[in-house]
Amino acid sequence: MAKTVKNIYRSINANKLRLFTIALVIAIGITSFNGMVTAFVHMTRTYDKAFEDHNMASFTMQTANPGGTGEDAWIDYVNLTSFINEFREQEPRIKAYELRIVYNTIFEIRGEKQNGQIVAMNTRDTEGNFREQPAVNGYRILSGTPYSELSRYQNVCLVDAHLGEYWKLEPQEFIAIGDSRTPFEILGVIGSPEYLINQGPFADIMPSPRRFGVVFLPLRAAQNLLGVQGKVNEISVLLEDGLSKNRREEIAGNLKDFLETNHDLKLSDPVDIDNQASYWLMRLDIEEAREFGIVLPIIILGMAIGGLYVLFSRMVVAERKDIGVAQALGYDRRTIILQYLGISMVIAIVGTILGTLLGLWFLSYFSPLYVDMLTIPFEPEVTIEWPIVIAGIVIGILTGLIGGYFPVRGSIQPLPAESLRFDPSLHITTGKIPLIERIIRKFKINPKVTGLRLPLRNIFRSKRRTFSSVFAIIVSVSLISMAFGMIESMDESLTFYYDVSENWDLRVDFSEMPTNASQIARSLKQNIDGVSDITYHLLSGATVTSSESSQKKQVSVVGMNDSDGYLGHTFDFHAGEWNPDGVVLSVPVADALHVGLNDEVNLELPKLTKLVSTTPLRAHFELVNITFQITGIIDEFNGLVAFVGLDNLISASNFPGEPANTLLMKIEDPTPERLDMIREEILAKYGYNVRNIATKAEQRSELLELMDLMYNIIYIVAIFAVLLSCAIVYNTIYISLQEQKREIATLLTIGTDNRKLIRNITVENTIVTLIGTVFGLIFGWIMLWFFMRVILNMEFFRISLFISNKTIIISFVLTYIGVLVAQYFPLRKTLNLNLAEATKERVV
Amino acid sequence: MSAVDVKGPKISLEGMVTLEHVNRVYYMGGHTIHALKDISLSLETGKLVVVLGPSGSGKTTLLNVLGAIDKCDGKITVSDLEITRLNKKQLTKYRREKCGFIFQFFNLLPVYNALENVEYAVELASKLSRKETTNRATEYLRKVGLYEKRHHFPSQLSGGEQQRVAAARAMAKNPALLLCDEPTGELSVTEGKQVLSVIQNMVKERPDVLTILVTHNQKIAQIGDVVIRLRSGEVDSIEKQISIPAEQLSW
Repeated sequence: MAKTVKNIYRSINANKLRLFTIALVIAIGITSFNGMVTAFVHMTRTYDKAFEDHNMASFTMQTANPGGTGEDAWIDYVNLTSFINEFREQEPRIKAYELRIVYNTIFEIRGEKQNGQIVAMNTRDTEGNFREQPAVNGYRILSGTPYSELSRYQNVCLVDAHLGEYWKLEPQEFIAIGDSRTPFEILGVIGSPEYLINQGPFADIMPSPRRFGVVFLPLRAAQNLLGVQGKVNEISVLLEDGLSKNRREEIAGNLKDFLETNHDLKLSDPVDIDNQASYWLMRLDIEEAREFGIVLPIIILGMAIGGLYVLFSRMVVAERKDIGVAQALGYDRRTIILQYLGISMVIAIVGTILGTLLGLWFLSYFSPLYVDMLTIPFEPEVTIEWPIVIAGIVIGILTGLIGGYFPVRGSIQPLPAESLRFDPSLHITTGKIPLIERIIRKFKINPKVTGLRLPLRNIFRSKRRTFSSVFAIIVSVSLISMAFGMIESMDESLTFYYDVSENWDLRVDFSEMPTNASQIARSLKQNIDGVSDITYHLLSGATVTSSESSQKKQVSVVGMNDSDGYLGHTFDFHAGEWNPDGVVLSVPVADALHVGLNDEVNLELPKLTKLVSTTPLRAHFELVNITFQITGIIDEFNGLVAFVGLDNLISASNFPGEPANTLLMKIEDPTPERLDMIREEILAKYGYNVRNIATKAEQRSELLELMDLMYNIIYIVAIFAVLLSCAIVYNTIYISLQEQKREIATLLTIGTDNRKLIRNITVENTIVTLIGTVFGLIFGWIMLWFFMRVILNMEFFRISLFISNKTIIISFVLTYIGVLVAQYFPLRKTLNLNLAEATKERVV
Repeated sequence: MSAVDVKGPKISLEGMVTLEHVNRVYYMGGHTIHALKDISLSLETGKLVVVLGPSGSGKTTLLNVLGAIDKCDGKITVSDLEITRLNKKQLTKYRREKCGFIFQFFNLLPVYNALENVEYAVELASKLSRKETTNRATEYLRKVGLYEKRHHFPSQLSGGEQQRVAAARAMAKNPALLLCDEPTGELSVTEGKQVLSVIQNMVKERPDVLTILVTHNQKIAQIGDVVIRLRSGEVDSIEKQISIPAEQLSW
């Protein structure tokens, strides 16, 4: 045993740098595993706790027409309280409920208008006593003060953290809310589990706090603001813990039936907690990142196994005669295998310890980064998760066992004589002229024996050797190209979206929907210099269904107006074409619904049933199903979108006049200064109804800010990739040169000068790098597809996979630099060989 | 013999090879090993010099310092050139153009067939055309009886055949010094005799070449014209003898 330990120590000492690089690969794998998986365990637990502590509603139910006016828009608070109490007598699993107003409106913050949502709750409980927190959907005060007893009589508000952070809002500042621009004093900034991710409607892809913010008001203040004294439009219900989704939906359905049947109320379908936009997105985000955190280490550790396999299989070949001698001296096969396994275990343990420590450091960096990026007001606690640490250790050690055992077992011969007879220099050659050389000879190209012929022969001298050399390059190139490809795919998709798809320079969003859009467009074009094209869109939400699938997709429907050939959008068709009579769907929606070109889909759209007023627009809606034929399928960045002709959408929606939410303009010579000038001109002329005027650059930067987290993850992957590549390439090149030590010594002895030798080895490694690069790029593409389409399968974004020529060159150059650095150290050692000894070495 | 065109002293190998007070000391694991102790020799070309001695006597070290693959103190002059004063680049050129090596373990390039192994050395050492290089390599393979197997790779040749290819490689570049380090050490008696026979023939054919063969086998030493006995790094004796043809040897 002592001898085995001594032998293990000697082997490690002799190969310490190479073994350390493998330990480093294992460490990187374990780091990513521990760091990412633990981070997401923490976050899941923290947010679960946040939801639990703040009594997140099990389901919510709004009135049938929550944004409108009239009987089906509002319910009397007192009546509804008694109805629900009546229902609670037959359904004891309701722990608490809250009657609220949730209403989309306009805010004016420091003179800037923006869309938002007010959420209003009673500051008194059912007994009439003041309370700081509601019974359901509570929140946490981050700065300032909560409501006081007097708040119900005052125009005060609490702003959600995302909006507060965006505008850097402070207590005692004022914010104007609603059509009447009523000023409300900010009491404090709060974090609400209900809005962990700043998400309004599902169809709006990653809304910025500039487009969607949430402000909490006392119920009475909101009722006064909206002119609906004593009314609410939403029921939030908290059920007992541990109920399944089916049970929750059953109770929600029963409550809806009860209220509609017994009390003649009109309500929309209940929304379960699992389908609540922010909650759903948070889960999706965490789940996707968790998958990423598992898949990434699997890939890295898989490479570590590959690296260990290559290293050990070649180490055993090189030491086969020593193994034979050891066997002849009486060591049994098991002892020798144990010796090699001991080495791999030491590597694995060193890698695992290093990885665990780095993982904890990474965790302390990653969790706050994630929270910071999403402006989440609930900080996860960074604690050591022993089950994950232990899992990491087991995985690390298994990596060592698998990577070490198989090559050793396969290489140790049953009879020592076989090992003793073995000549490694002959073993690592096929003794054949490689195919490539035979091909080039057909073209009368016959490289010199002292020139290109030697590196060519060396490359293809044995399948295993060629495989391991090319494998290292493939790992390197594929990882680098995948990592950079991820960044480029995102950039390219965004660039295409904003440069090509979004065919406008200025976008005007209205506070109130005008019903004379064509008149406004004409007026703008006539009165403002430089407007070359102008069109307007009507936006609506819809649920798309098809007979081919049971799935439903909530999408943003854009009613496209063709203004003299200008649509404001350039389609990138996967199939078909634009036809105002049909519908154009995105690839993710078409795929989810299993539909193709010329198939029919149903769009469930809101239809106006009663117009109360046009300014401000107050109306009653009902949902109607309209069948459209698919005339085109687009492959664009916005994944949850459907385009229809404006006339069709207006007729389906039953809007009066020429309604529009958005005006899109093309500007001649659209420099930033010019766009600013036109923006000012529009605000001056039409300011009363203009909510926001945005340039594409502004919209894009908002989106990029929101995607920072993803970019950070990708940069981390890229750093891992380069580190891994260096480690694996170094190992393989080192082994290759070690295997050829006697040959190199012979070449030097018979008079090959250093320059020629370095040139031949560099040529050999360059060719290997080129071959590996070709396969590496193919694998890189496959891995890119896997990460972007399988792991980060977000249907909001349709990211086209893209690897640029620049990335191809960078992948090659970085790998090639790695190869040159990797060959430098062993080559320097080889060139200073004691030729007398090296030419007599029995083993390489 | 033509001069070697390198910067520094010109190399010419006409005349004698002399060693004056050559010492080689190794330091291994805290121990000092005096491999060569004050060796002074004068050797003539056209002879087969056998260096004989037991293991550790310094015979291979002597061969290595002559072949400039090991360093030493003292003075080694090959003709009028003091090789112990050459720089690294000049030594490489000296080895390339003037020394032929036959190693104990053959040391053929496994990726090249027999012909290519010989061609490599010729191409390296001369400025012959591709065709002339091939012709020269083929000629030498024919001399060592391996013309038929010229396209065989080392893995397809027996040990003796590999060593004969190594001999062809060493001689085909027209060296001035042919240095053979235990060339039969890894071979059977029959194969060994074939290889020694090849070396003897080369000595006969090339009177301008000084051939030095290192062995620990007294019987093999009988093929030499001169036998230098080494013991513990010192010259024990130098004897001239009438060489016996390798075919008549038995060990």
